[in-house]
Amino acid sequence: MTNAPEQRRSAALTPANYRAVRFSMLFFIATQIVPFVVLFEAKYLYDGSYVSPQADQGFGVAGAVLMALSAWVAWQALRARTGPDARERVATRLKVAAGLGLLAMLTVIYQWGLRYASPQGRFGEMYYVISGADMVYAVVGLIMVGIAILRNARQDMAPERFWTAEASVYFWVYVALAWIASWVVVFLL
Amino acid sequence: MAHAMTVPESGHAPRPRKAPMPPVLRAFLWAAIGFLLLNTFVIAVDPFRGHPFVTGPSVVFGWVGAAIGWLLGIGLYDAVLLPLMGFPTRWQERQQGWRRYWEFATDHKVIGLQYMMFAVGGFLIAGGIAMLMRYELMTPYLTIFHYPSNYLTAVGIHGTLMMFSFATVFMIGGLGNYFVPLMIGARETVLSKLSGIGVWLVPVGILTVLFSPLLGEWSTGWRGYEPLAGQDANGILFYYLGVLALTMSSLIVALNLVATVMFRRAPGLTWGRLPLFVWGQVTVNLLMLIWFPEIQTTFVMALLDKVVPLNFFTATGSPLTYLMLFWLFGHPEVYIIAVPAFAIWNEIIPVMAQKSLFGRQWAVIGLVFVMMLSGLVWAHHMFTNLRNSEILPFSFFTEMISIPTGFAYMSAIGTLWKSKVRLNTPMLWILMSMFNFLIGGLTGVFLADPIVNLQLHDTFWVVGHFHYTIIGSMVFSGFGAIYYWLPKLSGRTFNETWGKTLAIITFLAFNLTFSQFFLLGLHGMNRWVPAYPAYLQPMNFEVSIFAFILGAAFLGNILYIGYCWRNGAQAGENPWGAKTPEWFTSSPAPRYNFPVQPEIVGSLYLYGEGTKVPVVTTALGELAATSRATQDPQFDWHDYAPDGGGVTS
Repeated sequence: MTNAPEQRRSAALTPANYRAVRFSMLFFIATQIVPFVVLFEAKYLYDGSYVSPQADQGFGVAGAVLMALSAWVAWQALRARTGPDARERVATRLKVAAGLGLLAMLTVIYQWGLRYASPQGRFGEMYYVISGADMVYAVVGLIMVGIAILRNARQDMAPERFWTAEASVYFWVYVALAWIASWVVVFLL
Repeated sequence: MAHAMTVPESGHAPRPRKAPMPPVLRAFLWAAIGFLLLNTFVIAVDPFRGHPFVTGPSVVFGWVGAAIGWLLGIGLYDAVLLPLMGFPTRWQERQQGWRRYWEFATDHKVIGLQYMMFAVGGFLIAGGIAMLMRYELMTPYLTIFHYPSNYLTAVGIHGTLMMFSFATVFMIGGLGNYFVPLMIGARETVLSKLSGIGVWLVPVGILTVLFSPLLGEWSTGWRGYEPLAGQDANGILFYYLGVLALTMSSLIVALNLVATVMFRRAPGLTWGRLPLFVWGQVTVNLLMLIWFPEIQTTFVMALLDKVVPLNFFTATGSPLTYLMLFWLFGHPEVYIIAVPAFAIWNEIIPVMAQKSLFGRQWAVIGLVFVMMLSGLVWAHHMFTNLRNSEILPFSFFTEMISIPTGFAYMSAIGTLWKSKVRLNTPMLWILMSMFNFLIGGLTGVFLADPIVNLQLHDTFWVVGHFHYTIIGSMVFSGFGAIYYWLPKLSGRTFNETWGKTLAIITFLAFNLTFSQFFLLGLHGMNRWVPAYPAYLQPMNFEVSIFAFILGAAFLGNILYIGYCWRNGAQAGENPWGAKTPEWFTSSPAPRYNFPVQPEIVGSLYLYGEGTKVPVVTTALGELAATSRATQDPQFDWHDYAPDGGGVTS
């Protein structure tokens, strides 16, 4: 009900609501495995285990490692949620995670700029589509992490208000795992 | 039976005096800005495309900008984004009046009605296009459509809107959103804000598909078949994008309803007591959560095929892969539409017969097994493309799926057996639905036989089978459900004579139209053609006449329901004597559904002497001492009442 003052802030989560929305978020993330299953199957169908000799393995590794690091740092933000300077520590970790994610995205953009694989070729079309899917999910994840950073800067870190940050971390970890799986499928298998 | 009670609407702060612009108008404006921004940006940076202002890539990005602008304008910005980022907002939810249906809302009942409203809009548009198609087919040569591709575009828009903006949206987005929380004794849904945003993707999808001819014709029908789509103009882009918006909306519904059923069931409402309609919704929601991301990925790949261009599904790629990926989703989609109808049969029949539901467990098992088998039969849509060795397993599973489907019939017929059923309007619609789906199912068994399928595949037999299956199950059950729940939705009822008359006219017109599709098919009438051999004209002419009557009958029903909603006689609190929880609150239900959390103490489907009232709405203090509170140390009534809900403990 809306007895609150005219200018309202978001409502706090109750424990029962927290369990429900966490289930929903994790279930949603599980459904987002399906697109990558389709893409990986298509990769296998169209060009099997072929990897273009021009594909830069170094950049592939760099992107995957950066995303793995980013996910690990983001996960540390969840563990920093309590304590006297929780807000600062969470914000720092989220910012570092976002920065590492941006760097990983730059490695892909750089590779795209090299245009070493033609989108008309079998390897090229799957490479661009799978790495493109990684990028789209990463952009969505970065927006979520950005919102969490903004929110944490403006609100206290009480557990019932921490869900936004937690949800963004869950999604970001999923993005990193999908990214690493894509690297394995495109560059290694 | 407990008395229905009304929640006193607690006072809320007045809305700000200056409402800058009605949300829908603001959404249109922001959508236009979003489109112009991204479209212009792509035109400016795309070095390959020459100089038209709207190109394939630019319109795709422009559409994304328009969709984001639309959602922000309708309420995403004020109601979700600002508070999410910790900024203050002036947004307040409107609690009364018709305007709340034309803006962002979090009340699942408002959202349910919004879904129904948009779905009926899609139904009327797609139905109007069907009338044009039947007018065209009254003559064996082209009349109102100048080229076959114009006709095929109309067929595509008709099928796409019917499947994605009506069938799925009405049953799950509309009835599911409105009734699932009520039927499980919940006070609201888990993801109410997300749900309030998701519903506004439906008009995005409908308008996108409807205006697809602006970008050129497309000839693939609702399936977007490749490599045919590769020959089409850019209209096919709006098919992919429109379906993306519609499926995204339905995906949100599925997620929200599954979470709500998992976490918001009333105390005592175990899985074994869950209402049949809710079981139906949960099973199809799980199907949607698996298969909708799959088809969305497929459509993105097809979109890139067209825009970049790539070669996934072109003649040099693998068109068969597109067919596989489409029907992997496509056949479950049919059951996503039909399973809620099965559930509605067994929801309404025990009430009208006032007799315990026969074989309740089997009815539930049937729904679940249909859900599981629906993912194993996709290739029966592709018998003409497969080798014999590949056909057999799909033929087998297709015939097997008729067994769990039969469980729904078994429970329904077992309940009707020796009962004194009230043959009123909702019951009439349900019986008609059962008859029609039976015809659809039996003709489907013919098609599951590869030898017959190869002869009939490209004929009107398949069109007849499909319409008996979809309209027969979903539309007839949908009307039955609306007549059944009209007293709950509006607090008003209808005149039985008018209701039955309209139902019978619809049933006759439907059967006289679509039963002859089978004969047309056997006589050699092909699908997907606006011109045909002259010897088929008399039957086509006659079928079109019945189709027009059918269209008028559907329209008549919609108008009559709308009339009764406003002007019907006042309905009683529980006019049918039902036992499911939605009838244990006032009609229409108040903002948070139940003034006091109901508790379920018995089966919802037992009737007869000695059966007890299964839903109790005791005083809050008494209920606080029940098992739920003692089992869960974190149990808190406020969890059920956002912002306290006006309840004090």
